[in-house]
Amino acid sequence: MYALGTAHHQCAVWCAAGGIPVSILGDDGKVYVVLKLEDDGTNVANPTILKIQTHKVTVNGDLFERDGVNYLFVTQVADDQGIINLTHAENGIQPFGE
Amino acid sequence: MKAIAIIVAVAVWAFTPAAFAAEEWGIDGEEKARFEAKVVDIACELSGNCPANCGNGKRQLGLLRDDGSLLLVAKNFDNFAGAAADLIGFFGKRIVADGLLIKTPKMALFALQFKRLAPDGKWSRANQFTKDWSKANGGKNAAQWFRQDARVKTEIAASGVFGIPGLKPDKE
Repeated sequence: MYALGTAHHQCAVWCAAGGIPVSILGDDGKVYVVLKLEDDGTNVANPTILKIQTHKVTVNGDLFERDGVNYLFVTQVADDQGIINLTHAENGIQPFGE
Repeated sequence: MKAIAIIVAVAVWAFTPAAFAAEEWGIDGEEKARFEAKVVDIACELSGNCPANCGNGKRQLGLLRDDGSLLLVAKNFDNFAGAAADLIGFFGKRIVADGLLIKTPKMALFALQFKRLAPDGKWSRANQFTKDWSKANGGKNAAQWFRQDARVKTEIAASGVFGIPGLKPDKE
C-alpha cells in the first residue's frame, strides 16, 4: 500500500478520526508525534488535525524525545501549503479504492 | 523547534483473532508481545501537564514499562482506530497488554489487541472504539465506521477524497 500524499489522504482522515496518533514527517526524515495542537490540549481525533492531514505545514512548538520517539507540542501552525504531494495518478485511492 | 513537514498518518488495520492472544498482521518489524505496564498520559509524562482523569480519553495514552521505558500505543483492534478508549478505564493502573510491538527504523510503537487488569483480570478485546462509535450512532454496525462517520464525511465532502477540493477520481 502506498501511504503518502493525495492517494492516501482519505485513509489519513480515517486514522485521525479514529484517534490514531498523527505524526509530522519532517524534512529531516524524522517522525514527530503530535501531542498538542495550538490551544487545544486534546490529541485524540483533534478536529484541527483532521483538517491538515497530508498537508505540508510549517509549525512552531516544543520537542520532547523519549525512548527513541519524538513528541511535538505544536504551539502554532505558521504555514499551511495544503497538499503538494500528488500521488493519486499513479496509486489511485489507497487502500480499498473509492 | 521549527520544522517544515508533511502531516502523515500511519494506516494499519486488524482482523478477527481466534483467542485472547495477539495475532500477526504482517507489518514490517512487528513481533507479538505480552507484558505488564502502567497506563499513563503521554503528554503528562513528558510535560507535567496532567488534566483530571487523563483527559477523559481525548489524550493519547501510553504504557510505562517496568524498565522505565514509555511505549506509544498507536492502535487498537478496530480498523483505523486508536486505543485511548480501551485504556482510559485503566488510567494509572497496571494492565497486561497483549498485541504487536512494531519496531521501525524511525520509532517503536504498540498495537493493542487484548488487555486485562494486572495481574489476572478478565481479558477483553481492544475494540472499545467501535463499541463507543456504534452506541453514539444509534446502534449502527461499526465494522465500516470510517465510511459512515459524520466527521469523516464532512471533511471528505469539503476537501475531496484526495484532499484537494474539486479534484475527483477518474471514472472508468
